Amino acid sequence: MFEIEGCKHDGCLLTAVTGTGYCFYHLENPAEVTEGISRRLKENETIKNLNAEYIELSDMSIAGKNLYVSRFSHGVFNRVDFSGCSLRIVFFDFCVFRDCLFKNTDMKYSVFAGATLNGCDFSSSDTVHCNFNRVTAKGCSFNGSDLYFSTFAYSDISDTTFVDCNLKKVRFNNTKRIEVSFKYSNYEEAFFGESPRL
Amino acid sequence: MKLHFHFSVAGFSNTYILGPDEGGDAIIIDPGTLNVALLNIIESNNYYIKNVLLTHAHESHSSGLKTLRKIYDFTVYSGNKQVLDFKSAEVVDGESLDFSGIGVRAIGVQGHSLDSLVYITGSCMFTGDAFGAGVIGTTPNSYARELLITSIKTKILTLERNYLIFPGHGSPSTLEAERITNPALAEK
Repeated sequence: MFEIEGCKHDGCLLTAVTGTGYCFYHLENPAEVTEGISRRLKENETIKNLNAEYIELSDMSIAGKNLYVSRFSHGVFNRVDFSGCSLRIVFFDFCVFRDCLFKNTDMKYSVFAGATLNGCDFSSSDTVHCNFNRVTAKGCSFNGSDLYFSTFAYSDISDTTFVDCNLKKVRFNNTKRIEVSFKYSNYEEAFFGESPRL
Repeated sequence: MKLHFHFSVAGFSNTYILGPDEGGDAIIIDPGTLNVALLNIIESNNYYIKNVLLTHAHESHSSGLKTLRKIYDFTVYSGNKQVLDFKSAEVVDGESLDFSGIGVRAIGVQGHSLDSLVYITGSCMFTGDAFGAGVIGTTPNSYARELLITSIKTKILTLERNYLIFPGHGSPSTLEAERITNPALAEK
């Protein structure tokens, strides 16, 4: 099972990058470890049980890969192409995504809570049961996506489109929305008022 | 060890299975229903359901027991002595359980129901209806709501390490995210 190990450095509360024993701040050579993870992501069709908290990746494609039960929390992703990926139980909480592509992804039970999404394209995707609580999303597209049971509560969303989406049971309660379009989507079936409880 | 999830349309609840990589005795958490999709997960991984953990006895988390019993001989663990027609090993707050090498710690978090338990194994926390992504469980009255919030704050949020949160309904989260993004838990 996916086990997050703590960083071995005395007093550090961060988690160890898989296979290293240390977090990114206490690695001897973080660039080398980043390169290794980047290679692992590119060369394998399926990646699972990977913990890479605080990783920074730029200008790469992992399109079409399968990512299962992995954690990239607090990471920074610049122009990374996740198009066509299958993601199951992947943690991107508090990450920063700039101009990333998530087109045609099959994403379930994944977490983006607290993330910053700038100019990202999630269009034509199955983004089901995903946690986008308190994200800051600007210039993003979720057009043509199935967002069933996902949640955007307390998010700050601007210049972003949800055109022709399935919004059944999607939570948008307490969101701040500027220039957000829900055209052709079933927004009547989403929650915009008080959050439903468990 | 592998973790599998299953979404039950009846009750909109999540069921989780923990089992060895190579198959064998497995744990199922909150079998709200047992349908073909869930059975396929169990059988295609060569699992035998030996133990059932219930976060609480509400039907959307336990109705699958009846069908499950027709196939597997398992022990039920919950905060009760009996669930539906099944005898249950009563789990108490703070109890540690061992299932063929899988250690599970139970934390009592009352409020949503009197028998609510949160289970921790490894880095994973199965929270049932105590709390989930940005929400806490429904409660019958304001006293129970305070009890629930206080229990979560004193027993869960005080845990030092971060955990991956797998709730009974809705999307997963992390303990760090809930500390920051869950409005009910941020209340003074």
